[in-house]
Amino acid sequence: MEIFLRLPAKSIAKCRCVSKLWASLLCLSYFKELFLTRPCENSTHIAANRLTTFPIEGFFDIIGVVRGLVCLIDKQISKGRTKTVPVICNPSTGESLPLPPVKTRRATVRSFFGYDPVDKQFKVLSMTRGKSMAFDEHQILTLGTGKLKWKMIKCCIPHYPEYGIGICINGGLYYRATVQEVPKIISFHVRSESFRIINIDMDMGLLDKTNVLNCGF
Amino acid sequence: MSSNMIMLKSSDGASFEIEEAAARKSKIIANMIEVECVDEDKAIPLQNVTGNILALVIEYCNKHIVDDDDDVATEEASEEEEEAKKKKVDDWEAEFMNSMSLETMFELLLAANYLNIKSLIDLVCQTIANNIKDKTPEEVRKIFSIENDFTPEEEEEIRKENAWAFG
Repeated sequence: MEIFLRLPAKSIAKCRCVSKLWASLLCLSYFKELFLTRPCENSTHIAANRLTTFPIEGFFDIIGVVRGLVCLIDKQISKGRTKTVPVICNPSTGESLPLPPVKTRRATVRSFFGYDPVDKQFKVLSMTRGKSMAFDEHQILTLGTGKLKWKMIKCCIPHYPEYGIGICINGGLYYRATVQEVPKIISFHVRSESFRIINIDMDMGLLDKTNVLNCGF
Repeated sequence: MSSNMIMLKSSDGASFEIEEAAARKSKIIANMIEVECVDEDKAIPLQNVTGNILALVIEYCNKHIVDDDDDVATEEASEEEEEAKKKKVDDWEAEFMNSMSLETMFELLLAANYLNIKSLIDLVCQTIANNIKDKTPEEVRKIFSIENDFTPEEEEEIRKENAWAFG
């Protein structure tokens, strides 16, 4: 294990082809977890170096980058209707997986990409804007649960998510939004799927966090 | 520097004398010294380490204890000096690892693990990792004498899954 953890991802993939024992060992979620969290300075560069082309044509937005996976939004327009299709890409392998389109007829959709380190699940959060100009429909898609399905969730905080990418830290997904015209940061707890407001001007500690977010814009 | 000497005894009965400071590189031996279960006249028996491997471990510890001491003494040393020193250690480590076979490396790794010498575990693991980094599955099988237990169909399948790595 200690030796494998010192190998680049490409060598791990090759080692999986060595024998059945190695294949099963190197596919264990325990190993993947260790591999992703290993203290290796080079790991992020390796992914970046191999960033080639994503297999999507037309316009798309990057909505989040979490643990080596990139989530894009592909807007497809057919028969006058807009479909919002999130696509998960792995830049180091060049693989991509289109998810089911967001379950809505509405055209304006804001999506964010988060990760829950407890249950080890990736989730896409999508909010859609209705005729009243309010984002009042919230849905979640959890990756790795067999059948990929959007699930409606309740949000007790009426807020208007800004356009841009969110960042995910320790199971919390943070993105900019306005609540009653006041700029705030919304923290979405990926595991419990609950929303919380963070006031921007409360103290210095929060100011740091807004800086981190702004860097991503 | 402490000049206390400690005796270590390998599984095949060879005895080695080592400075306490060097022996403390091993967490296990350091703990033994802390709880005062080391008798000055008696050698510490190391059941899982053979003499030739223990000699390598001691060579490593001796080399690194000197370096650690230097670090403390020359805290104000210039960056260049620090770098030169680090390079010297790196060169020594490369030479040290180069001189042994893969089999010896694994035995050394087991010993480092048993004696709990973190930096030596890191060094050996990294060296072995470098050894297999750019190898094909066939070459890796050969290095570790691993039998290919995939059927041709299974092998094709798993190769396909990991095709991105072979580009």
